Amino acid sequence: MIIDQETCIGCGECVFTCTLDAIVQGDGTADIDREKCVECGNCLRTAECPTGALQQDELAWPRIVRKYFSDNQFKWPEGMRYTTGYGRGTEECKTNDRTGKFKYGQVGVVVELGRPNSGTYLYNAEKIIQTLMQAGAEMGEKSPMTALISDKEKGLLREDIRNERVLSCIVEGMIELADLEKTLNLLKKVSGEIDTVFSLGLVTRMVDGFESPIEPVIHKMGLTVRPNSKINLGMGRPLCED
Amino acid sequence: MTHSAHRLATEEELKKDYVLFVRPAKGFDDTDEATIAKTLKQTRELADIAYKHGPVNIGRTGADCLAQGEDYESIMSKKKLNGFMSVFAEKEKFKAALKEFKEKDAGYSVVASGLTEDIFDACREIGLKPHTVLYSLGVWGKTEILPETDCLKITTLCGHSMVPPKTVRHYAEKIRQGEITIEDAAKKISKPCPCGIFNPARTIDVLRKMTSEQE
Repeated sequence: MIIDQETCIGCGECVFTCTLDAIVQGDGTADIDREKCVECGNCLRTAECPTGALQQDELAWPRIVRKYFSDNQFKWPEGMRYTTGYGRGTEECKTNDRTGKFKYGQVGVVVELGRPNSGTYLYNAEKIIQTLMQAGAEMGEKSPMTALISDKEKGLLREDIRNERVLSCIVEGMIELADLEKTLNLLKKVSGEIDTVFSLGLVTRMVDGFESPIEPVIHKMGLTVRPNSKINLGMGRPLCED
Repeated sequence: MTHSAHRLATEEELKKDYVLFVRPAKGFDDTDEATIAKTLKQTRELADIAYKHGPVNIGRTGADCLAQGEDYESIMSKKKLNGFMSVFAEKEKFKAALKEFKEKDAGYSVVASGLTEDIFDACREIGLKPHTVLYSLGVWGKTEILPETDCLKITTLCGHSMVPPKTVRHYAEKIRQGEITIEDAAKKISKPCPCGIFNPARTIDVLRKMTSEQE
């Protein structure tokens, strides 16, 4: 995003629309901190810029990666449109009653970096990828983040995108239930080594509908789950019973 | 919408926040023209059920939502294969919609976000067995950079993080100055979230608390 300094009148109507405080009110005009800006486009859609000074400039690789991850109304390029084509993750548990992606004895680990409201450089995602690989996780298929890994042995992201900043990105992996404690301990360790936050989600198949196989492990570790969750209600047909 | 599991609120506040969405599956419901036509027809019928039970928001990605002032017919007239989102501020309304979904037995994946125990109770009553759950273990890492809790209670209502803390603070200040009503401020704040998952009713409650505390 850019603000045309010739036409900006400094009204400030865009400043409070920035998701990551990248718009700064200066003397007489507002301006965008291009390093902080993640190209989410929220300002362009919601600020009522009276002079049209707020503009989307043409984005090239690798900066456009910011927009793919951050702008929920900007489609990924062909070949990376795994679900709806927008957003950062997979269908995780949403359609699991039909796709059978997560089976009994497996746990999906969903690490949403930069959420809430903090943003992240992609080098943080690389640390999480390497952590999950160390825990023996299989990286999530059909995920934009996995597609950007250049070295699958070492868990390295493409060099040219590592320093790009995004509103959020999701690293998804699948582990065996037996590896959950080890994985959470490794995530606890790496959480002190990154310069942002992540929201952590764990996906599990339920036993007889209401029994969670991961809760005993979580409680044993002294961790707690939030009182709210996201629940696939098992209404898909044919129902995957695995 | 991974983030609907991470909506931040107290248990009391979550009693006014039940998300219900229908999600066709890629590779199942979009395989040919006839299947696509059936998916569009049946997801519309399910949306009609949800709408009938009085959600505080309903919408679909790329087609806008009630909270933004869009008309229901206009939202549904846009042909989308991504299903729809709806939000209920009352458990009984949520449960009534869910019960009708079960009776219809359309075969699409249905997902609910909210208080786990409340949703489980509704499932037991209706005769549903939850299949898979995404549990939230909260926020890890450099949590000192997070905005204040009241802001987070509103910003985490958007699944794509498009509602900025600065927007919440801006309109809270306008409310305090008497320049905008709480209801209109909630509408303005919901503007960046077009897919129907934002809860304007809970936003009003949080704004009321934020602005009354300053008086």
